[in-house]
Amino acid sequence: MKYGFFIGCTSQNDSYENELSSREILTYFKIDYADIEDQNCCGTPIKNTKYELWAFLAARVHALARKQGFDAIATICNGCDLSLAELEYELSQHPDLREKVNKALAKEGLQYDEPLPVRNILTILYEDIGLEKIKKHVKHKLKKLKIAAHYGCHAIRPTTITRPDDAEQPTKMQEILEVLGAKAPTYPELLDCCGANIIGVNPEKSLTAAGTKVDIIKQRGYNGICNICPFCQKQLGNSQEVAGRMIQKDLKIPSLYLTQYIGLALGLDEEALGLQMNLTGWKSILGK
Amino acid sequence: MDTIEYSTRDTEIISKIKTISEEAKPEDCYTCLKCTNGCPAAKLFEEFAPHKIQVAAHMGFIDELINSGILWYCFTCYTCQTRCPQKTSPVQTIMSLTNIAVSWGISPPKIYPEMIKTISEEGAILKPREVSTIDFDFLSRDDLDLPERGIKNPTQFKEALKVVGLNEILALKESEVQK
Repeated sequence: MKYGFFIGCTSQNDSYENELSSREILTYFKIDYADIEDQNCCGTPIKNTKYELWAFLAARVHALARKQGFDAIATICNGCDLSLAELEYELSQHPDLREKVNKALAKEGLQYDEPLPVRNILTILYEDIGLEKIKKHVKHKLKKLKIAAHYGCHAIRPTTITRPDDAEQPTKMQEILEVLGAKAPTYPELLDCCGANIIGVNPEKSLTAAGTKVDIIKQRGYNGICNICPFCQKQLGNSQEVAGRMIQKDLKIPSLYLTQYIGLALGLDEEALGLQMNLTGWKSILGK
Repeated sequence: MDTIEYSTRDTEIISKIKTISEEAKPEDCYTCLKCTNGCPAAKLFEEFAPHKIQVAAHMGFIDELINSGILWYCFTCYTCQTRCPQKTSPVQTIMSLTNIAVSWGISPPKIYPEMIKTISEEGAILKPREVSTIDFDFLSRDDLDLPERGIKNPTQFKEALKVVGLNEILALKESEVQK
């Protein structure tokens, strides 16, 4: 199966560590992938203003991937993943919207007929590569680490369409962290939202939500946070200092992408995993 | 408590929501409050309550909801939809109402037209940035040997976007600036 790699706005324009570490892990495990050329925003960020525009943007990605000969689309952002995965479900309820989308696509010589399978990085790691294979390649066990998993809302909801993990009791990220040698027990706030969706509308409240979650994670004795979505990672990771100011707490705790934790456990080059861009620090993860 | 002004009632709103989302179903809500109890926005905004939004939409009293701007505070986390025992979807009602408001010419928070303008120019909601490392070096895609990105034929892409309403949104931004 050849994946069309969909990077998404946040990773390709400022969360470079997500793109770098994802490429690094996909390549390491010999996942067959190449970039979807000419790719655009998935549409999610503007869906609540004009859903025709959203549907066009999501359909364009599918149309491009199909035209370029891919069998499935690989995503590294939960927002992108949901947008591309829910498109057909929405279009099947709105035949007129399907027609309008195709009218727009025709301006660029494109057409949307049916979707390609959309697979989140979590699904690729868990199903395509698998726990056994990851475990076999671990060189440095992430011992003495207790990592708080954060799945991100759109990786588990809505339940009307297939999502990478269960809506109320997801486990896949934690199972992967455990084969790396870390502990990743669940906690009552596991499903709490990072608040990213309103960062542009009300940053104070958005970062209050993020800060509250990071604070409780620290209080519960975790020494790392794990994300798979660049929106969540920005909120719970690189924005920690500002989020801490919102709730008057010092919140410093390493926050990394799942692909970065895997890369560290495999002994891959730290800069190749983009770790220099994780402003929360990460060396304590390896006991440095 | 203010009395309800019946003249503001919009009895068509239910059917308008239905054209956008079949799942919203405000008419099926029996206000058990499971949605509001699990809502992260409700914890941060006193006036934000998904069950009240369902009822207001059902009754057709949406003017105040739309004008207050609180609909834009939804986190879009889908917890309400997931937990609703009646299989209604407050989040879909909210998303439908914000779409309806925009179609009436009401400007969304300025971040939205800004993102849409950037999409029309760059294909993405952001332009590529130089990002800081923990040692305060600044790195670009080029520095990291990441491949080039962007829309190959921006003119054609913009023409396609116009078919699905680009200009209506950009016009909203201008009217907001004029205020």
